[in-house]
Amino acid sequence: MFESAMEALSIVLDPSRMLFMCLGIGLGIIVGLLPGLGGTVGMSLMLPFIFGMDPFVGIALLIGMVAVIHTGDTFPSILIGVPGSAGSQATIMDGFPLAKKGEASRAMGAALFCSMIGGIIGGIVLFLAIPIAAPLITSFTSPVLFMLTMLGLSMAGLLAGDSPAKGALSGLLGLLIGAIGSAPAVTEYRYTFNSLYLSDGLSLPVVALAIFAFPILITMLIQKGSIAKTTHLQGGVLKGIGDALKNKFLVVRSAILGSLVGFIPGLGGSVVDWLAYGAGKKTVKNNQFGEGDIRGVIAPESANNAKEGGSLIPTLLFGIPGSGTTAILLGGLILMGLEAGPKMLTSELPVTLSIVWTLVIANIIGALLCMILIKPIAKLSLIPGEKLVPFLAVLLVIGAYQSNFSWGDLITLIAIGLLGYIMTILDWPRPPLLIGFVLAVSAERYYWISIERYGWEWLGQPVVITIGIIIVILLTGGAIMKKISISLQREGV
Amino acid sequence: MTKQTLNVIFTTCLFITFTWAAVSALAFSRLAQFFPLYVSIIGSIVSGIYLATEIFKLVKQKEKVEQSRVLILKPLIYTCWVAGYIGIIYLAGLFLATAIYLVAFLLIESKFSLFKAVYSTGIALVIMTVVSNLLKIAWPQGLIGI
Repeated sequence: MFESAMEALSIVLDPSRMLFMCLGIGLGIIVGLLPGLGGTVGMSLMLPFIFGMDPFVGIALLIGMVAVIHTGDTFPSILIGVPGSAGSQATIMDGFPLAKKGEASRAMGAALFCSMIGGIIGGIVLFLAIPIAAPLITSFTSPVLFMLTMLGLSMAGLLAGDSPAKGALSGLLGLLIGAIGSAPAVTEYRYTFNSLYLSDGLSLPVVALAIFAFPILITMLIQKGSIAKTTHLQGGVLKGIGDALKNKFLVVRSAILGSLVGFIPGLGGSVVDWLAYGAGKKTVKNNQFGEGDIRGVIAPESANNAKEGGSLIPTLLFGIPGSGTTAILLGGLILMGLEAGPKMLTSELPVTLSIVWTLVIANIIGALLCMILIKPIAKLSLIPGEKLVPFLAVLLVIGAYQSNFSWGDLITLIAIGLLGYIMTILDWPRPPLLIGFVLAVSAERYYWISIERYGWEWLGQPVVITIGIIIVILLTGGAIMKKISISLQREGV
Repeated sequence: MTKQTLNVIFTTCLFITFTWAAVSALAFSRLAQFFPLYVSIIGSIVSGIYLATEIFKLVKQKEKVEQSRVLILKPLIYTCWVAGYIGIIYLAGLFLATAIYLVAFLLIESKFSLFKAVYSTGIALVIMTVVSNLLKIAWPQGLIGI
């Protein structure tokens, strides 16, 4: 295995392949920077170019791009509070408040460094998982997958803020919006009003843009001020890196969590950052998550890059995509004459190992490139909102249109954008809505498969009970810890 | 309008939506109905309870506490800017619509001088064209086919 890994490294370091990797890295950063595009759109844009390509070159281009999308998407998340891609929403929670305090460079430094470390850990996890993943992944039954989806949904409760009712309703609304379109179990359309556009359901990038980006733009215009409340940037890149090093265990913990969540098919990249954020919030002492705590940036940024390594495990070994991006990668492999499955561990092992190396090297190059560009881009946070917003609105509209090339996406952008704005001004939490929306299809699919196949007996399965207990502990434990924390604060401890 | 009143209106809308979704779900086949039916029934119950508590709070506090007010007109104006931009795209295509929208917005809302507005719009259009060609990004076409 070690010899094969070294052989794959020499293949990856070939100058022509490195050139394509760098091209992929450049495109990945641009795609990450542009709100709404994200990995899925970026990958689909690349697919026409890799048809019939040498697999190592094609892999260098595709994986080079995928690896750094979550590095590039850090810029809009922190600087303007707009998610660059679906996997960078949680970064906004503390990254944007830090930018408002004039500490954008510090947040960026920490985020980019954690992205790099997360990406490397993701690559290592992928490497280590190759020989042991097969028996484990085949043991996941639909009830277990359903319970894992519920675990993801329980994060909506954890992120609900002061009002659990608002959080629950927001999550339920997300689930209901996710139910629009064709039913997974039967060929029937729901809540479509006979509209062809709605028959496919609403697109995730459009909903994410509308629920997060649109309200931010309106708020920026109403406030008519710069994003940064101070006129100069305090702190710096090195301070951010220092923060990450100080919280090394949080970085490693979140990266491993990211890899594991990415490994679970169907949970997808949009949930991983919230899971890491929620886990960080529960495990870090004296935190001020949501108010500009640097650890609120470190946790999701470590996880979202690491997720890519994990999500490649089921994709490459079983042809089961762990996210939308990997689903397109699966198509890319076929275009290059490769077949996902056991062959990737035998005759195509060098290709698999080249993916691991590309993931690691691209993360290092991507993060270093972004660190060099931090200062000029960080200055964006000092531009007054009313000057930045019209250009962002153009990006928003173009980004929203890329999902289906449909006018319906633009109408949805306005409609759900207004919903997002009302939720913002009324202090309704928006993340639960998106989590509900993302998990709606997998929750429904795994639920009906479980019921159809096992009846209600699946509820008695030991793994199902264990995950159920974890959910209850997470929800009640969080509430109990909060009460204890408040009482300690009152007592002045 | 006060924040609490708007919250009651918003929750009422949610309650109606969940209830309508539950009633609509009854018409679906068994395999298609259970998920939206369960979700909307739970949503209807939770929103109903939350609505009742909010109305109770609103009635109780109406004259005692001064409520914070929410802006309605300004957000609507800015939403109309985006909606108007999309409307012009529908008529004239993305390129022309972006030029019109950016110049108009920068002059009226951002208080740019005419030169600065045209200059900034020009740069934005060049970047947009280059990046779109590079990434093969699709542009929405207008009725006049631009």
